[in-house]
Amino acid sequence: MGETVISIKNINKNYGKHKVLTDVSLDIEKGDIFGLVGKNGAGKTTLFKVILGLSDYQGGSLQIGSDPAHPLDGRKNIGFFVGNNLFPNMTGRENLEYYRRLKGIKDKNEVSRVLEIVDLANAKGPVKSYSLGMRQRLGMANSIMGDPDILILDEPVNGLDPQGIADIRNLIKKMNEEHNMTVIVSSHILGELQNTAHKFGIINNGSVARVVTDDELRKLNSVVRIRVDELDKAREVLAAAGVNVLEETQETRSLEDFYFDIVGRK
Amino acid sequence: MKNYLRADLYRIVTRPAFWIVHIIGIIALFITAVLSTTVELNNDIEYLSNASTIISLGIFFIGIYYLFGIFGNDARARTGVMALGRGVSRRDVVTVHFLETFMLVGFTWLMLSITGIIIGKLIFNISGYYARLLISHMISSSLDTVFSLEFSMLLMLLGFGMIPCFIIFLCIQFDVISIVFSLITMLPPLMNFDFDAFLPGGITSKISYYLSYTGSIPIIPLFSVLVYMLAVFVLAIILYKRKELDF
Repeated sequence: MGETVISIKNINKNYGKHKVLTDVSLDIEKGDIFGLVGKNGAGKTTLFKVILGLSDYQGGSLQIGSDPAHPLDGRKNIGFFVGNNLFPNMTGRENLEYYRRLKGIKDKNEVSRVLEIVDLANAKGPVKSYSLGMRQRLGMANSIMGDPDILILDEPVNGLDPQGIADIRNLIKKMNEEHNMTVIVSSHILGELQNTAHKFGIINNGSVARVVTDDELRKLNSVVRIRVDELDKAREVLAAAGVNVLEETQETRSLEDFYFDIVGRK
Repeated sequence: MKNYLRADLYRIVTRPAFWIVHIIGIIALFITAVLSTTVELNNDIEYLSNASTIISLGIFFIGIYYLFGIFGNDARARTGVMALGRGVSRRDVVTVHFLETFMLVGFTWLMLSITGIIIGKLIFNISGYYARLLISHMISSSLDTVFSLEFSMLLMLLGFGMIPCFIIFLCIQFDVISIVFSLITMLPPLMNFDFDAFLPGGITSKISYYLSYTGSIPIIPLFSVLVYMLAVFVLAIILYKRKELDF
């Protein structure tokens, strides 16, 4: 097991009488790409807001970083993607320069560096003239500026075309593999999340229903399809009957199938 | 907090619009001076009167630019959320916004008052007394704008849209609260009560009067102004601390 970078223990969050998070416990390890899956209103965004300090919580504990004496000090090392945190009348570069100063990053080349990574180094004009994909990439550039240890991405591919989705996926993987960033990403697009993350947390009605790795997912309830010459013998006992296997196809249950097994289809 | 304040001030002063609105104010003062020279008698008093009007209007319109062009943009970009996510405390987010209000209105006051006095001295050779009248009138207008922006910003921090913020801005600028209280004083038990002495508009007028006509520093009204501003600041911190914030 790797070092735990975020430890959430028995956190509750209520809006009046409405319980949004109930007894949530989750450990995120260094180097994970952790996918958070849940329907609208399940509590994903609320959990992110609690981690980032935008929302308080009732009961439980939250540790970000490794110093238990200062459990929230690690917040300074979190980069996060917020879709619309850009000044529309400023250029992409001007926006990032603003956030570079806000974050106290002294290296003046940092903005050029992250713009190169997201392929926006040559983007001209104010942000309001950018396409959705460009604005999402700019938001990502802002979140990775300063090389944070942890990246929190709340639905970063919403509204993007396939190319845009692939760009964001590749960027997440690059940040994780080349810069050792721990990434927590939420998405409704289960197939895309399965291509991106290596660990998944299913959140349902404010609770973490299940956490599973991609290895575990592959091993669970796999379906084997065998094409045989004598179907009747194959029905009895496969191996003992000595059936001549002409074709074998192994199917792994998808994240989507597994998700609906947990939360139930409507 | 320092990084947040520095980043925001740099953003503000590097926008062309910030300088354009001040240049317009300065040009308006020059035009006022030129028009005042056409008056045969007492053209220095004519200039003083017109310059006071221009400066009050200038601070008012520049205040609107600050509300929409600076703080409004700030609210849209949710820089406060970004700052919080980087470990800036909620108290510091509020402090930065309030400090900016003082610094921006203070800068505007400085630009326009220095220009107004220089023009007055060069063209009309206005006396020190008239210069003091101009400055004290400007202080009153500036304090009114600071109040208006502070109250508007309180609403903005709590997530209200620009329309309610602008309405509050205008209500304070045009002393609507005084008007409402003056209606209350039509009721017999309160007929002789001077509410104006306790309201921001009344206090700033008193400061202007004392500075203009007595030359003395009005300690109690100035202290009252500070108390008002501190109260709004503390209220903003308390309410913002409890506010659920969105991405």
